[in-house]
Amino acid sequence: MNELPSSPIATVGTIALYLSFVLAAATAATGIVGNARKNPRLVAASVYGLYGFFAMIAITSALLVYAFLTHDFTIKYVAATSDTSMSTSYKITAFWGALDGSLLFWVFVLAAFSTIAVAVNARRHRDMIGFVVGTIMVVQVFFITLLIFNKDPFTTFLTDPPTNGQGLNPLLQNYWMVIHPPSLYIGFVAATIPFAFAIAALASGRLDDLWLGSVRTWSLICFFFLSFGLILGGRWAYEELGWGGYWAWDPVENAGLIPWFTMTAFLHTAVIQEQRGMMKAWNLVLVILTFFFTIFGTFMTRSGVVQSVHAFGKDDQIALEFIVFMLFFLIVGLGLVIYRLPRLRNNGAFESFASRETAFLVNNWILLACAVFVLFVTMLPTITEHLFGERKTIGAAFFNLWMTPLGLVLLFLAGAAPLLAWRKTTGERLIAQFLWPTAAAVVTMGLLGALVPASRALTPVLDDALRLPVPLFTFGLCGFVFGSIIQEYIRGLGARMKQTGSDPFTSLVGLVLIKRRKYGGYVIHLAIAVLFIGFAGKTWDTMVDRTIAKPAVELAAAKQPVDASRFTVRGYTFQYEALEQVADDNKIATYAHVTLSRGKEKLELMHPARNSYRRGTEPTSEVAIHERLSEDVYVVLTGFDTDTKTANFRIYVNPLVNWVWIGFVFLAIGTFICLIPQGLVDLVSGRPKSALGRAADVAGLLLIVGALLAPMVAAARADDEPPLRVAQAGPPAEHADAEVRARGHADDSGWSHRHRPDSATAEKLMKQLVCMCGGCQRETLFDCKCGFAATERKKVLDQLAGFDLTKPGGPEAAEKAVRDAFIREYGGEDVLATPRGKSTWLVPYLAIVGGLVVLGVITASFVKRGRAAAAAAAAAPGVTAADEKYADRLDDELRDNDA
Amino acid sequence: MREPARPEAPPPRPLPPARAAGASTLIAPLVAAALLPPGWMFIAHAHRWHLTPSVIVLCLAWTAVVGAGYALVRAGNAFLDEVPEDWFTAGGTHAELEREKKSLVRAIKEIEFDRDTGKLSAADAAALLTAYRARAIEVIKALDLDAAGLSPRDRVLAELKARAQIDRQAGKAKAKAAKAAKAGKATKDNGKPAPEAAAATVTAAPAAAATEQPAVEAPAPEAPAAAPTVETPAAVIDEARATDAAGSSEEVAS
Repeated sequence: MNELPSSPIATVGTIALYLSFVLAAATAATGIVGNARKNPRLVAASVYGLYGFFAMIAITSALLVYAFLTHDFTIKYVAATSDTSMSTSYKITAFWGALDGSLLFWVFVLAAFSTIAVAVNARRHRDMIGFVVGTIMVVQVFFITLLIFNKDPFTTFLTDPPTNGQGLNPLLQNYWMVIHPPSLYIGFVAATIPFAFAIAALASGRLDDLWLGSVRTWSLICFFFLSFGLILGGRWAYEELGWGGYWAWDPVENAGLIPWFTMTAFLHTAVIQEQRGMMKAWNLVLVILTFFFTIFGTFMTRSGVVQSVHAFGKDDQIALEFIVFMLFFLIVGLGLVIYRLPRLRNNGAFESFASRETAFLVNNWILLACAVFVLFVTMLPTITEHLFGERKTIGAAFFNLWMTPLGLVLLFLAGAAPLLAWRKTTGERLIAQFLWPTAAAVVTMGLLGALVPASRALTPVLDDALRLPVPLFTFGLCGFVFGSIIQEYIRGLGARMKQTGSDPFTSLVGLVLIKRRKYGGYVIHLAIAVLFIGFAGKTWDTMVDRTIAKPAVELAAAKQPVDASRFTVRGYTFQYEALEQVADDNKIATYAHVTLSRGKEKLELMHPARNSYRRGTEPTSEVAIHERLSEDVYVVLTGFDTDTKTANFRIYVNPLVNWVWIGFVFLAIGTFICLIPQGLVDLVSGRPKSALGRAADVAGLLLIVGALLAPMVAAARADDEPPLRVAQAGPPAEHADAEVRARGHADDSGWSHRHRPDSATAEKLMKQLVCMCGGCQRETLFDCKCGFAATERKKVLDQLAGFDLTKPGGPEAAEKAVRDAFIREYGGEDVLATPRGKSTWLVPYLAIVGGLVVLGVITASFVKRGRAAAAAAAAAPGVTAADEKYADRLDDELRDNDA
Repeated sequence: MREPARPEAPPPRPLPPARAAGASTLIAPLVAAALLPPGWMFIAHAHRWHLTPSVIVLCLAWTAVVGAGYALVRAGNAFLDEVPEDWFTAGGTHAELEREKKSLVRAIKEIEFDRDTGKLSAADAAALLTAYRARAIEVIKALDLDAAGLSPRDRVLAELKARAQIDRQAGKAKAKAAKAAKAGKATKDNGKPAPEAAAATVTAAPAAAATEQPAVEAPAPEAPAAAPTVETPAAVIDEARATDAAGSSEEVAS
């Protein structure tokens, strides 16, 4: 008789999970009751309970990782996401490779962070730490409930466990994907800490700025890791997915972006609260919203409410549990804010529109508008499905129409806000501050407009009918930001040198260290400008498809001219040299060797490849990228025939794309500057006077920065030459149409070059219609490389053949007719990349314009009140002679304070 | 009809007496530290001393087991350990005043920096600095009162007295400035200079301060001798107004 499969690891792991649940619930109750009843012993016990919970979850996580490392395939999760051929690093990656493990990973990371946060802050906040612990533990109880009752990662097979696992999705077996999910999770989890402190401050009534100082570091950590995770995801998509881009406004991508917007807004208004004692209630709301959006993003990707290849699948039970949880915390959080509103009055007031406070307020409005817009449009298909029974698809084009102008306003503010003073900037000062940055913007636009015609490319903004030279504006604003930040550094340096009498280098180091939040923030603003340079390049990128019948090797062997194996795109010459196959236990990799040249200069031998997996998963592309600061040349092998050696290539030329990655490096540097601890500043402030001592300081600083950046550098892509072995098997030949359609997203046989648009109308239509194969990321017919998309493109061309596109009105009529035909065929507008309904456009108009009006009214009333208060303050007497003793003491404090 | 008397609830059982931090808080971490190496060695031995990633993960798991036990023991002990009496008044008024002082000092430095970097004109900066400095001085005074160990009631009385005096000085300064402005206007109409007018305007505030009542710098706990017994804040204000009215009538007479 066969024995039932058993796994001691699974048994112990499950017990540890249940114990963690009990401990979390007990700790939550102890902390909340202890703080509410002002019982210090209960509060102290809850703190240790939190530490104990972290240890229990560490045990659970370690056991799951051990199961992966020892190939315990009696556990279903291990069997589903790993196999014996995977390397150790990917086995560990599999821990968070699917839903069950990702939830446990979330709990583990939150437990680790909360342990550090509570340990560091328990003494300073002991009058409210019980509420902090309680809030965190309630969140943990929710996630562990999901684990225990819905997605237990230790579930075992009841009979016949497999001898090997299914392995991790090949797309995830990439070093970027090793670090992308953890960094995003860290970003999400880090938003829970400020949330817990905010709830604790509200619950305990400790509404001074103390909680703000404690959460500042965590907010920066959240901001950094969300940024890091988003950039890593973009880099992974760029390298792995083979569609030449890095951002597609996919729902899962948006799930990480929305809390990024609100956290960035909070980081700015937190400064207002510290400097001016204003926006207290708003900051609390922002922290609550950021936490809500992190949970909402998790809900989106794990419940199936949105369709995405990133999503974990559909689960109505989990969806309901998430909804209840989110509603609970939203009601509790906002309810507490409303309850405490009388004690959250502003200490200061707005006095002028030309002030840094107003700039931050506008910045908040833009960021919140971005968050709400992205959220609404991401959820629109789900909303329309429930309301009207029809899913309205929203493509990247719709997002870009709106996010582009919002982004440009944000870019302007990144340069303008640093130029404004707190409270007010008078007219004369305003001109003096804006003069040089504006000149930099004008010169940039003038030079680029004259020398780089591509920068004048017209891009639709807000509506297809409104087209503006967005790249030129973008570069101009980048020039403005650079001018502004450089001016700030120069003037700050001058002031510091005058104040301390030091040399420029010492003054610069002192300036950055003493005012690290300001000057680190300026570096982040520079990073945003650099990112926008990268974004702007997308406007004039190029994509072409080419098919080469014979490689140069074969042509040379047949004594034929090798010119037939060459083609040119945007001044680059590509010569298809050879086709080779390499097989291993896991896959068959087919490489095309392509020589890239520019003029007479040989640039690189590139090796785009396609992998077919023995386990039957979707084939994947391994793109070849020639990276340059000005542009990338991106080659994808979209199809091949090993018998005839025919190869299909898709070539992208992506201008300025590397500036996106460089921008993130600046962002990281700026964030690290902001995170420099006070202790380190105190340590280096007693600086040696000798040159050797100063050199040691510089070296130490470089070591610290280098050590922090080293993991990113180490993860940089290495160009591996493929082993030159030839395998035996070949891919299947091209299929007939019906077979292709039946196979759905089958892009292994070179369909991307077929039925390309032959007119502007055809291209426009193909960019409006979505590939309905069900296997791609709902790419447009223009972009999708599969056979299904090819047959759909043929349909478009066949239908357009019946129209005269040369006569006036012909293209519009043809466009409408073809679009309507597709809508009829697919029974709705789901086939469209962007919705046609006016109501869809109405919402962003109303929200953004309406918000602007509301903001203007609110600011005007703030400014009116602020001016009255300022006038009253000015009328009050200043320091009297009787206070001179105190004035002297104040002067002593100011002298000792090097801020 | 009277209800039958309810039996009295038994008194709550007292908590065990708190114990001071001592040897007991050292034993737990020592035991935990002592348990770690044997566990690691056992794990390594069971895997024949091949330190593979799975062995390392098991060692980490053992560390977590010991850590969990230690934390739970400390959680239990927390019910018995001594806790400071001021646990729930972690900050207190003094800490809040210190924070406000630091915030004001930072704001003053920021204004000076903005002036030096050209964002603020000298006049704007001066106006802002005056307001911030005045507030900072108020806070420093409040810190002194707090440090002097005054009862909250005495602190309020002393503060009210100081504020009332400042209000009187302000009122006198305004009156003098108005008088000087009138004199200046009259002179302009008549074409004759009024030597006192300009001087009075500029020096009104400091002069008023110089000739006024004794300074408030010494936060004396005892009530002022010359005034009637001041027992309540309202009485302090009334006293101040009475002194003010007396001062004004003297000016009018002169």
